[in-house]
Amino acid sequence: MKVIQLYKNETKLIKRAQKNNREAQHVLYELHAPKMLSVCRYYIKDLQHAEEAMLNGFFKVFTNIKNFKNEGSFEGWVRRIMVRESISFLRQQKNIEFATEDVDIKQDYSNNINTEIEVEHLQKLIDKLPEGYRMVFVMYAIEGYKHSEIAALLNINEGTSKSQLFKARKMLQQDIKTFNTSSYGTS
Amino acid sequence: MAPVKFEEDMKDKLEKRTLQPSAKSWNTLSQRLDNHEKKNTKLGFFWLTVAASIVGVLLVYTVFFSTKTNSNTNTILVEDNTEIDTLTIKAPKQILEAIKQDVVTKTEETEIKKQTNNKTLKKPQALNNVASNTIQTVKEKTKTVVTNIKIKEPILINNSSVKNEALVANIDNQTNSITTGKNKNSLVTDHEINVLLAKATQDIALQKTKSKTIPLDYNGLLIDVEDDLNESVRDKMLKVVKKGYESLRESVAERNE
Repeated sequence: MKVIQLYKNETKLIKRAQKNNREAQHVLYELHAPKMLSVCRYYIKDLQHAEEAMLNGFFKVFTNIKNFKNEGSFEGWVRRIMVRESISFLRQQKNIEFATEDVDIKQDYSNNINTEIEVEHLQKLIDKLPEGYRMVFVMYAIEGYKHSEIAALLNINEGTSKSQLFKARKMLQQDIKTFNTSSYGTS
Repeated sequence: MAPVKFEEDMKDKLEKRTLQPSAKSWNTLSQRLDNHEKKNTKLGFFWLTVAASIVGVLLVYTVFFSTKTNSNTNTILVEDNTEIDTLTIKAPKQILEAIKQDVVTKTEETEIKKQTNNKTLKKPQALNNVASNTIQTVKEKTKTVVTNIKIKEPILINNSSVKNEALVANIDNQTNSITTGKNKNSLVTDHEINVLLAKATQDIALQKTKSKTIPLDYNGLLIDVEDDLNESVRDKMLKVVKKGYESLRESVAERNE
């Protein structure tokens, strides 16, 4: 933490990191790694694998840091790299399947769900989702990507992205309901 | 599709979450970065060597190419030299042969004259006829030699310098003088023969040295030939253009009429 205090100004850190200053890179890593590991964990169930993906992401960050021109936020730039790295990690691990069933996306779903659930439980619920559902849901609902962007990143149609999101939402609602009933039942 | 409330809550909660990576994670990452840098430097060195080798090859090629062109021109010059040398050598050889024949005939003549003189001393009137006959035959021989030389003259003019003409003329004069001497029935002494021979050899030697030392501008000759060729091509082109222009003018004139 002392090291972080020394380099408060992130732009200075980035400039130093661009000159392959390992100390500055270490500080940047210490600053952003916990958040980025969490991001990778959204997509990858196993924490060790998520860390692996995160390290790959940081490797790319530091090898391509010269391309970063301080136009946007550094965290946003790193985060995009982490998302891409997580997706490519999952692709390497196994073939991701996207269900292409036609679904009525306009179908209404309940909005009154008790979300007083701990983060760990929420992560578990997300982990329960199939790969395709999970990726689309996280990218859309948590990362804030548009369907067109998701379609481009995952090499799928926008319709597929929408249907995946719909199914993921439906599944999550069901799971939360059951979780709530079971937790109320136990308490 | 509007964001749902539970999704927003989920997002807030997940955004706040942080997960601490393992203690060794940075070491592994820094090691990877170090290896990458080493690789990059190696790659940089490799590309440098590749670039340097390409430049070297190009330099060698250019140097080789330039020397090759030079060598080509040299070979052409050498070929020309040999041709010219053979020409220049052939010419004196021909002259030499002719002169040798001439000298042989001269010596024969002198020998015959000596013999005839001796015979005239011994048997003046009886052998006079024989002597005159032999002199006539010798004369014929010398004439043939002279004609031979005269026949060879154009070839010599073509091949060697104009100075050969003077030599041939000199030889002619000498033979004429010999023949006139014969006609006058004058006696040729050994001393005169030796003097003539010495003169002839001197002339030959001079001719040889002159023919060897004649400065020939091969490049100039080549350039002249090339210029002639170029001119001819130019002339042809001009002729073709002229013809085309004239035919066009005629056709235009006919059409207007």
